[in-house]
Amino acid sequence: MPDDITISIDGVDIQTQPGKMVLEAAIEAGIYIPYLCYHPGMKPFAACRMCVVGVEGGRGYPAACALPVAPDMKIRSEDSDVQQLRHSVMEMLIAEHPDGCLTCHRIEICGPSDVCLRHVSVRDRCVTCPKNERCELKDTVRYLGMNLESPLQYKYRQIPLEVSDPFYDRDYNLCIVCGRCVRACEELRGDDAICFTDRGGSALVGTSFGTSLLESGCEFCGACIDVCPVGALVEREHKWEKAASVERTICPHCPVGCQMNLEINSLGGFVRAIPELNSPANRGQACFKGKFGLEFINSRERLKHPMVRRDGLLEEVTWVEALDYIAERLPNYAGDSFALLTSPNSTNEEHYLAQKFARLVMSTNNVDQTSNTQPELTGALERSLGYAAATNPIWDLEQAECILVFNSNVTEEHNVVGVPIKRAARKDTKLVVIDPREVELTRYADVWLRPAPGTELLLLGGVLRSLIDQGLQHDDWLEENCESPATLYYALHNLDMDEVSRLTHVSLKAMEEAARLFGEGGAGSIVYALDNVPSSLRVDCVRALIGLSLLTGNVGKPGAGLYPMRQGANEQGAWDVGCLPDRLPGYRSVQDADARAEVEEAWAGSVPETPGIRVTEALEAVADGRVKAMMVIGDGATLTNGKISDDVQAFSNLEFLVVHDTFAGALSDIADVVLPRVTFAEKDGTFTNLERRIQRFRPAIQVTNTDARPDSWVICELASRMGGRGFNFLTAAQVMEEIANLCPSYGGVSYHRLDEGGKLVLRTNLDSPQPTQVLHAGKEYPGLQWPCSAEDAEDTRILYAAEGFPPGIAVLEAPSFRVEDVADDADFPSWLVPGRVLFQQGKEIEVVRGRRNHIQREEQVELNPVTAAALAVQNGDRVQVRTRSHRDNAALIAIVRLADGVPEGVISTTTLFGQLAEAMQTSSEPDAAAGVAGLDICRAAIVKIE
Amino acid sequence: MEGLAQRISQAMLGQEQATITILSTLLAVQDELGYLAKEAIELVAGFTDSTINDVWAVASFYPNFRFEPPCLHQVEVCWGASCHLVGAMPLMEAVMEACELESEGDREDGRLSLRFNTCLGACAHAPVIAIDHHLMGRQTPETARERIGGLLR
Amino acid sequence: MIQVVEEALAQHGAAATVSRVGCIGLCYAEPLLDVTLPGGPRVFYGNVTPAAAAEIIETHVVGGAPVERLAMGYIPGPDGVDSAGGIPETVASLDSHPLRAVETKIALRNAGNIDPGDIYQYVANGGYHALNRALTEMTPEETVEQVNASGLRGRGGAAFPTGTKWRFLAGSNAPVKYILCNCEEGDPGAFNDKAIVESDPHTLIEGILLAGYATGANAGYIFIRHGHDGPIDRAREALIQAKEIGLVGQDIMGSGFNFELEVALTGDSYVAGEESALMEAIEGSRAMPRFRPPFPAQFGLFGKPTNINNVKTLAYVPQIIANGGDWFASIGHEQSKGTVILCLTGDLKYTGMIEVPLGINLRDVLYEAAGGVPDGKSLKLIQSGGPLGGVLGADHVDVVLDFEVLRSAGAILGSGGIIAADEDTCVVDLTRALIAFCQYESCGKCFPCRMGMSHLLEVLERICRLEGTLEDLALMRKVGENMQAGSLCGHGQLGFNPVSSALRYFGDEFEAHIVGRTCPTGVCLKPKFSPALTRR
Ligand SMILES: Nc1nc2c(c(=O)[nH]1)N[C@H]1C(S)=C(S)[C@@H](COP(=O)(O)OP(=O)(O)OC[C@H]3O[C@@H](n4cnc5c(=O)[nH]c(N)nc54)[C@H](O)[C@@H]3O)O[C@H]1N2
Ligand SMILES: Nc1nc2c(c(=O)[nH]1)N[C@H]1C(S)=C(S)[C@@H](COP(=O)(O)OP(=O)(O)OC[C@H]3O[C@@H](n4cnc5c(=O)[nH]c(N)nc54)[C@H](O)[C@@H]3O)O[C@H]1N2
Ligand SMILES: Cc1cc2nc3c(=O)[nH]c(=O)nc-3n(C[C@H](O)[C@H](O)[C@H](O)COP(=O)(O)O)c2cc1C
Ligand code: SF4
Ligand code: SF4
Ligand code: SF4
Ligand code: SF4
Ligand code: SF4
Ligand code: FES
Ligand code: FES
Ligand SMILES: [Mo]
Repeated sequence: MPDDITISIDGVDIQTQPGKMVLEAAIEAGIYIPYLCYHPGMKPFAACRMCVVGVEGGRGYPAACALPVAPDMKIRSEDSDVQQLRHSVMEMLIAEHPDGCLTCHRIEICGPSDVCLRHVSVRDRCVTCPKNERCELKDTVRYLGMNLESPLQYKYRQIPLEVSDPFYDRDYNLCIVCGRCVRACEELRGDDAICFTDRGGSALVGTSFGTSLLESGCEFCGACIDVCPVGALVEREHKWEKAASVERTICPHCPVGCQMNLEINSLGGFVRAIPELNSPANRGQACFKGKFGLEFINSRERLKHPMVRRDGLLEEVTWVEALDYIAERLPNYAGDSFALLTSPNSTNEEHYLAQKFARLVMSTNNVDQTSNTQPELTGALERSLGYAAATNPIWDLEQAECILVFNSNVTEEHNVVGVPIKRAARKDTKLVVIDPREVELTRYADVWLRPAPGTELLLLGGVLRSLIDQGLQHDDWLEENCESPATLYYALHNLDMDEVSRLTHVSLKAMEEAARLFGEGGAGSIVYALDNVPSSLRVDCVRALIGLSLLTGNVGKPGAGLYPMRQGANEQGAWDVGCLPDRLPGYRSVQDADARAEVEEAWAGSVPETPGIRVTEALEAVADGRVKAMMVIGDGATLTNGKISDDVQAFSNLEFLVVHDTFAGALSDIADVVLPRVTFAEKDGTFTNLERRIQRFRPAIQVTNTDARPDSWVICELASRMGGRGFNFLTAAQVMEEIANLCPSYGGVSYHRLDEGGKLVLRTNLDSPQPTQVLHAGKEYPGLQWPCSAEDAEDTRILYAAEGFPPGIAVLEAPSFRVEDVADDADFPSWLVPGRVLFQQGKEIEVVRGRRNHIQREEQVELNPVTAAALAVQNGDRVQVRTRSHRDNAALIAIVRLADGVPEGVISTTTLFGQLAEAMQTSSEPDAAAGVAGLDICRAAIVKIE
Repeated sequence: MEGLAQRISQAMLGQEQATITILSTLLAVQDELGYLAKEAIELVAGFTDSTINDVWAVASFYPNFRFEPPCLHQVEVCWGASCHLVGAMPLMEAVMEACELESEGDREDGRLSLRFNTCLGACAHAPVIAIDHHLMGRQTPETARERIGGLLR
Repeated sequence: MIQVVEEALAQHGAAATVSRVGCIGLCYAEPLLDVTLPGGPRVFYGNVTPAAAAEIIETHVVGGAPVERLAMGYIPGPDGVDSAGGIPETVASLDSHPLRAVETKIALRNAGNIDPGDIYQYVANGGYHALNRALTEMTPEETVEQVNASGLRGRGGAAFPTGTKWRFLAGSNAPVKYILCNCEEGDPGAFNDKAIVESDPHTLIEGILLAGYATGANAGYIFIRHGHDGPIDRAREALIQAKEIGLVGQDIMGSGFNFELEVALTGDSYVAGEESALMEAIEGSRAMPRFRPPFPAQFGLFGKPTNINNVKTLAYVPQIIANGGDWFASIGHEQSKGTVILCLTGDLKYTGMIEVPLGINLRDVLYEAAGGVPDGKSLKLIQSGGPLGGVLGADHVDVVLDFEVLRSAGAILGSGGIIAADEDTCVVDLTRALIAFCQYESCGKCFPCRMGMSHLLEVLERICRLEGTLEDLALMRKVGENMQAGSLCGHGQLGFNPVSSALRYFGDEFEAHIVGRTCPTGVCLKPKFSPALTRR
């Protein structure tokens, strides 16, 4: 941290640091200098000249956004010469901007529905502009307090509106050419999907040849909309709706945990989502799912009333009736004939209550979370290092000198984690990608290794061996921090590298290069996922990746993170608070008597000893009658997973099924009781994201058209009806207190701290009128990254940095390097290699469909031209893909696209959900190590359809 | 179309200087084709490891790029200050009339395109026009009309 | 033309070497052809047509007798003696030609005299000796010191002391540093940079190498606008030759000094000549200027420390090193040392390019060298320094050419373009044309210039249509002054100069258009065409 220096702005002294720009320093000190092209988090552009200032002893009027601070600098921002210059620029701006309202003396009092007394044309009125009341231009005009009698000639641009893209409209008549959108797309997102066009007086922004955004490479992240100061770029849905209030919440779609500001209209309905700039998890970024995929909150198809099945038909009942009905029946199934499944967007508090209910009231450990299908992601981490979680913060990735991305299509799946990776790769960070498919990150990669399917583990072995052959391991560090790597070395020395190269289809040189880049860089991070690694190899793959980190000393320091890409939004939290069949709160085993005793004492009740069944075993347990009653909270769709999806109908074997969900689905169709569930936007609680950050969100929406309730309420009501004690919670905060008592890592976590920890990032008590830029920045809630063991303890940004490894020293588990059986199968000669795409995810797409926002994509499969020739198919052919494990002749119908990048013998698809997901991704052999069903790559055949 | 892609690739690869950029590649392609076809924008994006929008940003900035196939002949008239002083305006009127065009642009029959240039770099010979990149100084409306007439005849 | 000459020679079986030489400055008489018989003088023929060329070959080259009717002058032969032998009396020595009489040639010493396509001719005329001297006898610091002592100031417009600029770059110990040579030269009315590259590219290359050696830079670019094939081809050809004999590349002249140099092209953009926009263009982007600080010497091309100089600036350097900084400083006037290369265009008898010592009287240049205004008309104004410069009334002809003097008069010397306009010129119309250029060329990045230029043009067009009001004048001042104060780069900061200087010296002519509703010269009464208003 460089030493503070003092500068003064209009006579007010402020402290700042060298390297900052005057505008940044002013913003941080709560001093407003108007700006239009600057945007926090982006490099200065210095184009709008709205931030010009005078500098004592200096010449001219530099732009504060690009003026570095210097000791004892004296800045003049409010003097009349400076203001006059700003006025003059603003006058010109208004001469090319619809200015009916801006130049009207009634601007302060006119409301949206008022009739204009000046007969200003509709297109020239702010009150009919989608950005009205959140427009930075308008607010800057007000701040400048201008007399808008200008002799300049107004000229409307007459540019047709761009309304043919999905999700947002572009009206370049309103554009002030500040370039924020272009810079956001390039600098923040690395997409370059929009650009400056033309020059001089006709300079504008747009796309190549004016094509639609669908063709321009846009990922619809919405970053450009979020930074646009005027009404030029706006979300189409609820375009003209004004926010009556704004609430901070967390996107429920994935474990990145992006903080979002939900804009709420006066009827309490959701209007739009704007990612929070001052959020450490997402730094103002979001992805398509968070930005445009929250519309389901407003859906009219939501379940509205509790229903009980009578005579085969679901009948609306009151909550009291429904709860009584359930409470009467559940005691019959106490013990292991009951199972409870929670949802990935259940809060920490709900997960905690659910497991407490199952254990204490229903006397069973049969409790799990529906997205928890890959415990291998973090199992080995916990054994080797101590904690089942990512070691470093997400944006710490920018600090890495080399990043290895293993089998994770992070730009599609955990989109915002992709942002720092892309940013780093555009600078000096080296990027190594291991993935058989060409994905967005492979374009940024310095080295891209493409293992043949089933040989991922062997490839990692090859890289590790090459690392050692090049002498890049950190012996001293290992000596001190790690148990002997001898077993690992032994396994590696037994590798026949030529054979490795032959089987993986990766050259020795490429492996060497990857090892060198990772081993030589000072700080190396690893981002990994396992969805498409054959299930039998998953655990060992993670062991190998941990090995790579340990051998290179890349644990416990900045830029050296291990990041398992978890699945559900709050899957991390479910683990942390013990919503697992074999773990109690705080990661203690149910079989550990001491741990049980401690929990029993806290709960004043008994906890069963036998581990329960996992989500992945649920179907089997239902089929063989072990489980007779079930309660499923949320996301019935998750049960498409593995064997369960084979046969949702099997659930009708259950004697009693309660489904608590937001929407009707396959499960609620056969349930005995259906309860309407609120969405994340309506509840209070915390999520823990994939970087261990516990973040609070509050109810943002008041639902009026449904009687939906949160999980926590339902569970507590049932528990008290069934005589369970210890469920009298009035607030989520009280639940967190109990969690803190039982989970050491959460020991110092409290709502008080989460809220008070929020710091004001901009002063909001400026004299009215308040410019939007200042109004919109509010509090920064950094949350707490566990472990945070005591009320007065700091949270932990980087694991193992200060405290060392919980097991004492790090444990190197040596994998046994092998390949998945690659036996040829004449009937199914190819490998099907799936992967998800950003735009495909269950309900949100459906909700948006039928309205105007729908991205239509034809299902495609990619084939290498050689493979295609061998299979006698060509570019553009319609084909049917079938797999060895498909059932009922179900098959994917898709269009062939030839791509040189795809390895020979591989069929690559971007569809995991929908048709293919339902039909083809099932596997009956559970993974021995983890006991879960595989979502494996599989053998497939392809036939052309005429 | 195959031929077009081939010519574009050759132009891109044929650049001899060490520093190859979006701009240098666009210039090379335009030198070869006389314009930037949509395919060219795509190929240049691929060649320079950028996006079509990055390429478009550059292509639309410099007015020497055109996006339609070139006409048979190119007429340029200078309107720089040196030429202006010694008769560029009447010359320009005469040229437009002779070209049968109302402003810069292409004739519909594709025989000729007219472009205004801010300085053709031969100011000592003002006023200057260029026909097919061949500079001609000391033009009068009459001489220009005659030369352009010759192109259209 | 070359073709005609070669064919004629072939036809006569004459053994002659045809050289394409660059500009000697007598542009008004181009195309030029000159014949030198062994030992004899160079005889020049002006305004040569193909027919005349054939005649010259036949009579002079083959027949040995100059064509008296066509010859415009001669330059004495190599032996130094005034060996005018065989030259008819009526043909005068060219050194007495008014355009050449006032000249002091430093940067242009070789232009027109040697074949620019032949590096050995350059070397034979003392070329690369300065480089050799610097590499063998001088340290980089001493080299910078000589340039500093010479008082050389940038000829690209801003007249910044070159030695100081070099010191900035020399002060950085980054491993990669660049020297950029700016030959964008988009100023209408200026062509001297292109002329130097075309007529004597090696002077420039030597200058760049010296700059590289002095500042510790190891790579550079010569930046030329695409389409100007003459200078581009010359520069490339010269670079190939220099590389072949080890003057550019690794271990130059065995000294251990490395320097890579290439030619980079820009598309049409005036602002691309602005130093930071130029770097954007070399990087292949839109030529939109960057904000400063950081200055190029800290963060320049590809983020590396960089120095940008104009062609003329660099072309002086070899002579400065060869003859010493003091020698250069002894030429010129007060703070303006050395010579200036002027492009004389507009309403003048002899248009062309001359190199004269700074401090010379403008009258001598316009009336002596350029022969004054033709057709018995009188001089009305002088426009100097390109479109961002200003106009001066004819009563300024007695100013001396000096950076400070011109600046205080409201114009600038800029890159040396001087446009003279006679009594028929309408100042308002000329100002309109200049502003039309400025707004057409605005890069559109910063708001004051992007929009201000369009408003200025709109107002000027209104005044030219005789529809202006007196408020329009105030409006222009307001817009213009705010552009000056608020713009990001020199284009917007200086773009009001044509208007402000015109208002200063010809305010009455504006009022005649506005109050009198008439155009005194009648220019605005004729219908006229407006090339380009770019406001959407
Ligand atoms: N947009 C979106 N994001 C999501 C989700 C979503 O549905 N949509 N779901 C979330 C959930 S639940 C999860 S579990 C995560 C999943 O996150 P990931 O596991 O990262 O997701 P996938 O895209 O399934 O697979 C990652 C990569 O595996 C590669 N791959 C395919 N076949 C093979 C193979 O045979 N061998 C190897 N080595 N690699 C192969 C693919 O090319 C792909 O790039 O994503 C989360 N994020
Ligand atoms: N064949 C096949 N099947 C698979 C997979 C595969 O790769 N292949 N992947 C498996 C994996 S790893 C997973 S994790 C699952 C993912 O399957 P699901 O868990 O079904 O995941 P999503 O598609 O993300 O569906 C979540 C839905 O919940 C909605 N939602 C979001 N927030 C809330 C909220 O607060 N309340 C309510 N009620 N709803 C909300 C969203 O709109 C979304 O539609 O699929 C599994 N199934
Ligand atoms: C709009 C604009 C255009 C310019 N064009 C040129 C140019 O064409 N050639 C040039 O040498 N300098 C030009 N300059 C000046 C350069 O920015 C720079 O000052 C110069 O190249 C530095 O070289 P010097 O120090 O040798 O003068 C231009 C400046 C501006 C603001
Ligand atoms: S963008 Fe702002 S100033 Fe423009 S019309 Fe909309 S609200 Fe008004
Ligand atoms: S939505 Fe995202 S990717 Fe698309 S143009 Fe905007 S910033 Fe770029
Ligand atoms: S669209 Fe918006 S963000 Fe983009 S340049 Fe225009 S005003 Fe700025
Ligand atoms: S990255 Fe994940 S948390 Fe963030 S907006 Fe996208 S889906 Fe939501
Ligand atoms: S002053 Fe003009 S040319 Fe310079 S940056 Fe601004 S808009 Fe571009
Ligand atoms: S905010 Fe500083 S110039 Fe635009
Ligand atoms: S001004 Fe016309 S050629 Fe230069
Ligand atoms: Mo998942």
